[in-house]
Amino acid sequence: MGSFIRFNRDRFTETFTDQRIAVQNMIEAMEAIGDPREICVIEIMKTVDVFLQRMFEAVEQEKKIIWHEFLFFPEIFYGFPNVHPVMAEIVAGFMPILDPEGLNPYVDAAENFGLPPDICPADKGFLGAVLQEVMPPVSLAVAPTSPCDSAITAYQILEKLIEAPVLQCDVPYWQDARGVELYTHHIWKMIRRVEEVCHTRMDWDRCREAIRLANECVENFIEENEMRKLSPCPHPGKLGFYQFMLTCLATGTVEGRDVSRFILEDSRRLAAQKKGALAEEKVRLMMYNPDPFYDLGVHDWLEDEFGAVTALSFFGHATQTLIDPSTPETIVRDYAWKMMNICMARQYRGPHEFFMDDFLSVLEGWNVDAVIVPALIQCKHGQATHGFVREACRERGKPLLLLEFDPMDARPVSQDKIHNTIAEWMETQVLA
Amino acid sequence: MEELERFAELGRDTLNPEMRSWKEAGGKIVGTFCTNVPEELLLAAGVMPYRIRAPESRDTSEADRHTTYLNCTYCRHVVDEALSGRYDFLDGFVGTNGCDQMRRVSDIFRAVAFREAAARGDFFLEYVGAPRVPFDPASLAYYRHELERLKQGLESHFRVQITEEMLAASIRKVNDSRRLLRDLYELRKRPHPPVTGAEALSITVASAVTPKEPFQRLLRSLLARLDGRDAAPNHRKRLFLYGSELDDPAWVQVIEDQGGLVVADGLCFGARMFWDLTDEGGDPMDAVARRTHQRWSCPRMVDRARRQERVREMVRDWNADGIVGERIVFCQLWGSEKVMTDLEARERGTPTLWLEREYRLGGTGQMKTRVQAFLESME
Repeated sequence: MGSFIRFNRDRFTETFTDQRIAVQNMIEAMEAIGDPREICVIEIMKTVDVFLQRMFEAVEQEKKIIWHEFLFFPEIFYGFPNVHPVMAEIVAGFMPILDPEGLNPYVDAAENFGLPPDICPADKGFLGAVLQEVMPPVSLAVAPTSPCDSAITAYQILEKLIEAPVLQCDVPYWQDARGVELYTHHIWKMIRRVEEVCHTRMDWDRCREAIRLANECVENFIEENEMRKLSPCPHPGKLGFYQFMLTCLATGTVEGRDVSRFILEDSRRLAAQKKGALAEEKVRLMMYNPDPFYDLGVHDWLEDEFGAVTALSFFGHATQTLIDPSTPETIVRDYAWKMMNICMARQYRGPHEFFMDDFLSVLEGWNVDAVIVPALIQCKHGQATHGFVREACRERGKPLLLLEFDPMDARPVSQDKIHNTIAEWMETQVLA
Repeated sequence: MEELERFAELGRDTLNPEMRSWKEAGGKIVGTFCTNVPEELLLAAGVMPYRIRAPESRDTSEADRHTTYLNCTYCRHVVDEALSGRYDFLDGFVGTNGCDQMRRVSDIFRAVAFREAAARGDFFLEYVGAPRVPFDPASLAYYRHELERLKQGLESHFRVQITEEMLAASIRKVNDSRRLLRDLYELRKRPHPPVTGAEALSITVASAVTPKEPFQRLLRSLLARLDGRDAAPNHRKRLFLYGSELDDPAWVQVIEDQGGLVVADGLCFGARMFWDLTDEGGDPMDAVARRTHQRWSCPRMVDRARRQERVREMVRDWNADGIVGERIVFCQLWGSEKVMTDLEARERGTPTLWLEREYRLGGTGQMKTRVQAFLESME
């Protein structure tokens, strides 16, 4: 057995202190600029700051830390006393937002370790962060067998790298009662494993409270989604990404609930005033697949340059479901169902119809004029869905751009190249 | 040897002479991509299971309406062949989520290539959604239910009732092929193996695309004549070949031409396909489900430690000097398995070389150089 990678307090502290400063600087800069499109983003980034602060506190207090893959939302873990959940893809998820080149050293570390370039950057970034010893300590790592081959194998590699156990829960292929039964079984298994490894017991009252907070968050996002059907669309395109980030980090917390409430109230306020991200919407877009993390400003640019608002993005599509908090059984069953329905877990597994049905519901329900589908270089099932996407757009007479890039690493396709490709498409296909 | 030439011939074309005879006699053929779909069930329904390949494909122009240059070329070639009508001899297709890309290829087969045939009612379409945690009872139960669904579909479409006895008989028949192949692999443990890796691959490929009876007859005949044969008297090193979909013996031949004799493998079309036997006692459906779900896995399964232990055993038992790994470019599962294998091999001091390839043989100059350097590094 080779040696395991252990917690490196200095590297952890340095990395996440820098990250926290960057988050605070970003908030400060947005407040100074005063772009009304960023009001909600500022609130979400404040929650990110709280998340980072709590992570530091958990390390200081020597709480048992669980690394959970981003397709396990954290609310369930708040039921465990003395346990603190940290989204494992924290570095991959944040770094490119704070610095377009921020993830590169971690991607490079993973590739130098032997991972091929065509592995998803989320997984390369995560494993790179582990290899660079910047991650917080870990008692247990948990992940679903979702959303893709890259993630499934990344956690198998992780099992070899760290001493803590790694548990992978079997996500069903089908979206049916049998599937829920399977996943429910695995969520129970995860709960028992947390109890065993972290020497704790699930406190169902605590869990229930977190579930109530998470439910309100879901309700708020679903209503906000509905408001986006209005023209003008109350909120800017980039907000969808940040909302997903908020749910990955903070569902089940008071801050998460409060920010989701703030976003919904802001949406209602704007709608009542017939105001939106754009005073005059020339084009309503959908961007269905992950945005370029290092260039979320692409949505602002689309709005400013072309009067084109992203009415709904993939990450912004609230497909989550509610959890009945009545009993432990309903909580676990509905958490399983919710995790089968969150963004990516729902559309990226199973047959192509799981993706296409949601794609079409946005295309037809949000009054979309034109479609951008990020053709993520490493997303192999996505690449092989292009034929279905193309056919659906052709049948409906909607201009389509299959936009190729790496979502977290700007080196394969630069920001300029992304903008140039979109500009050419807008000028020749959409606005012509 | 005549038998070896015959095996090579069986794998040369998409539709081989034995399949033609099977069809001419009124037999049905159902295509699959992956051993997630157990042969035993198809055989029990009286149909011939056929592992889909694209040995005659030359380009992917038809496929690239659906796939892109960033997809693996095995997927692109089989889609191209399907859209070109090359698999029109099939009477059915059972898809599965072997990997993300094959999952979408199954979608394209179902929703595009075979849609009209299935709508007419004369083409069988089914899907097996395979879970990924091998020793979990709920995952196994889920998988068993998938097989039950497949069984019902086969019964309904092919108007046959698959009894326990029929399934038990087909288990024995498939196990017979597996035992014969294991006998062949046992011979390769010898210091001077009687077949090369390329020859062995042509035999295992033939096993996946040939009706069982003629295949077993031919393999028995070969096994009876192998004593005393030294397939590669001048080989320099013994190699274990590990990796993804590879059905072209010519690719292995390139390695062996440099002096590296492949003595065992862990390939989709090789030992991983047949090594584990199905239990011949007890409930046959349980046995098929357990065997398939818990067989020597590929990296789609959450099964790293057991998989690597298998690799370690094969390297040890076949006395391999090193591991040559192969993956088709853009295969994420095997891109990660490369890392997992290297980590383990490094700990054990086993030299490894990983080669990236496309589905169709090409770039052999670079491959030769790398294999030569690898062999020299071990000498």
